[in-house]
Amino acid sequence: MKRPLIILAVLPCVIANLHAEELIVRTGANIQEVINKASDGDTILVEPGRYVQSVYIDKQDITFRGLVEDGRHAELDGEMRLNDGIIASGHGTVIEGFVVRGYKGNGIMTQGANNFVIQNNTVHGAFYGIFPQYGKNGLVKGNTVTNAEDAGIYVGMSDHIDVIDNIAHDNVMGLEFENTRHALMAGNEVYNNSTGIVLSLIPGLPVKDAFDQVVRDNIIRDNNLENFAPASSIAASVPEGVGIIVVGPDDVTIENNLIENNLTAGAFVVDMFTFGLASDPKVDPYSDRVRVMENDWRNNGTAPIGMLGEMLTATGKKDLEIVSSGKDQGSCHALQEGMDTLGTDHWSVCEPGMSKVDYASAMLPALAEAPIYTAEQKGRLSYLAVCTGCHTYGSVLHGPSMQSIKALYGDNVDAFVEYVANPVRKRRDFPEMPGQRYLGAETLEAVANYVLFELDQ
Amino acid sequence: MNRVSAAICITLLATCGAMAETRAAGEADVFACPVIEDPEVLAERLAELIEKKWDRQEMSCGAGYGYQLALLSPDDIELKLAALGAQIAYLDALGRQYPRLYQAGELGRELGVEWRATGERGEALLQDLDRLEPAPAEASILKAAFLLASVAQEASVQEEFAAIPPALQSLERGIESNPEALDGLGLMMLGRLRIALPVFSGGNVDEAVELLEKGIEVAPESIEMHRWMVEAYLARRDNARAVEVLASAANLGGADINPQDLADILVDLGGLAFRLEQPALNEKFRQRRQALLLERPYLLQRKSTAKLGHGGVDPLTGQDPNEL
Repeated sequence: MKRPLIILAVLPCVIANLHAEELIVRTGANIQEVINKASDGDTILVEPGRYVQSVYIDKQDITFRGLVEDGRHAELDGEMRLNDGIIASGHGTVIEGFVVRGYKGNGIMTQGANNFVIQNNTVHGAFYGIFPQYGKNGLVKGNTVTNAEDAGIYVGMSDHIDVIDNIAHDNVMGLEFENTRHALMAGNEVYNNSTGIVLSLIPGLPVKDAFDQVVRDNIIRDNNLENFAPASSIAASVPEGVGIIVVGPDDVTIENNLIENNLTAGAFVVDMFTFGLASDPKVDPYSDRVRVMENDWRNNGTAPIGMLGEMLTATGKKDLEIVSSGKDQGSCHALQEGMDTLGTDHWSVCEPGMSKVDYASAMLPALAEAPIYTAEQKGRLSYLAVCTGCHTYGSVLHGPSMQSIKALYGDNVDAFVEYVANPVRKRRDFPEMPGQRYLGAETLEAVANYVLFELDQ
Repeated sequence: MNRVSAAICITLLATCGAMAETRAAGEADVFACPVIEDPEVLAERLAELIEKKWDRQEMSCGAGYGYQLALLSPDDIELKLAALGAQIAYLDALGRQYPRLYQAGELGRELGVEWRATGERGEALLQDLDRLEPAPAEASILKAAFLLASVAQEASVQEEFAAIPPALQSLERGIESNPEALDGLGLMMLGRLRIALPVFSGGNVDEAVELLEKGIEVAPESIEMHRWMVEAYLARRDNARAVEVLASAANLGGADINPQDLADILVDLGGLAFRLEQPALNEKFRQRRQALLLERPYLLQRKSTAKLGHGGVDPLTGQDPNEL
């Protein structure tokens, strides 16, 4: 009786695939128009060419692929006018094969999208290069990210994520896990950033913990770039010259990495008080059970720089592989010859059973659930993904404050939507707002309702 | 002299950097505070305005009046200490309301002007107080508070780092001279520093616990002292003691504390209760804070807002994650 059951189990997928279409964006065409015509499960292929556009995907199981012909790619170029390159909130999204450059906010961002794949893209510039947020069960693989003012790959408040085989260089932070649970960084090459890898627990955010993270088999070298993050941002406080920083997460394993030529220290395990992060009393500020197993340490800490460098210089110590602020508990490191550490007197020696050298993936064995978002949820997700790049609630960022916008529009949803879709520059003291028509009428209305009736109520 | 709840603006590894606007000589005052010449009236206005931690303009004027009063009576140490306390309180209030995040445009310019002006007044007062020998405990403690508060923003890495050792020395001197000065403020500040500093730069959790336990002996009704005592026990992973102190804090009146400070501390205590898995205590602090905000609707609620794709409410639930 198994055969009929198998057939029945396979049948929905077959039916779905039978209906899945392949849509092609011809060179120079409007990508969003094609996306808007797509149905769940479709594949959208974008021919090589330069596209000065922002793209928004909120359908399910879309494969969005840039084609390569004779070495030419599909390039999204924000010309440093547009805020975001590719934003997706549909579950099961695959984004692959694009070159994304010149965006002020996010190169590639997913918001609340589960079961996503972001692979084989090149992202240059932007504040965050590749930024999956609020996602479950995702893969970020084979991308090259450079010149991000925050992190090249920034996984935020997500669970069960693999970040594998990427290259990140010339960013403030190469790779980051922020408030993320069950995650793996493996096989990445991270060089010439201000700091190579950051595992963080940021206060004040909706997710209040971070744990179970493995960093193995990466090349983390020469991360001494002068921090170029805007003074406004938390990233401006990231120390230079460190290979790996752990600030807040628990149950972290660092193993079998090449950690080389980072001027300040190989690894820095620090609590949130010392790091100067504003205190969130709901968050445990201490990184406990950090296991630094065997790694290949070469030439770290030879000339400490920045604020951490000042502190280390005052101790008279340098050439440090591991520095700890000393407030963690349950941590350990492997006994390796010639290894110098500071602040780890209370650490034990790691046991072989703690090894994660064979840890293959943090992703789920099956797909994560794919909830259908309500209009309210879509409004909030889109507001977060798109609007907050230029607007804060109570003060000016790039555009006027949301408070002033709410006062201006009152309860007039239509006027709000019309303006956002087709903005007209009204005030000389603000830059021109890029049009957001690409978000579609339904999303624009959801955002308008959120801003006018829900935000800060 | 009013008790000053000094901020420990410890951003040890933070590169605050400069705000957008360049420093211009002779920058105009941001707020047009009423001109007052009568020292008695100045003293009254200082005492009244510096307590309005929810109102930047009022505090700015209060800090200015305090400085003016100190200038009028150059030999009056108490007035100098009060004026320094006022500058610290204002820096603290600015830092809490605009926590090291870029404020562009007119607001950014104003904040920069206010920060610099307040810092300059504080430094001038400190120079006078530094001439006292022996320094009274209050002067040592307020010196430490000012040194740390003044580098919380608009300071280079080197300036931030350079402030820590003299701040520590001043606190130790003040506590040695009189641990009860300013209702144990020195004990609280040094305890917090011992929590915040790395072990290789003077951090010491056990010492922090001792200092704050002594602080509670000195000021058993201080809700703020209890708040930091909880934090110290948590740093030592002594959750049982942390819960005991949290429960004590829930029964403290808080009548002697500025209402804005109380509103902020109740959030902290509620958050600590959340962290310690004490829902009943969390609810108690939440209700108390709600009642306070209803009674005094002008208090700042410090709601989370999103920026650069980050923060604000949880987009899936619509809940403010920092609400109790």
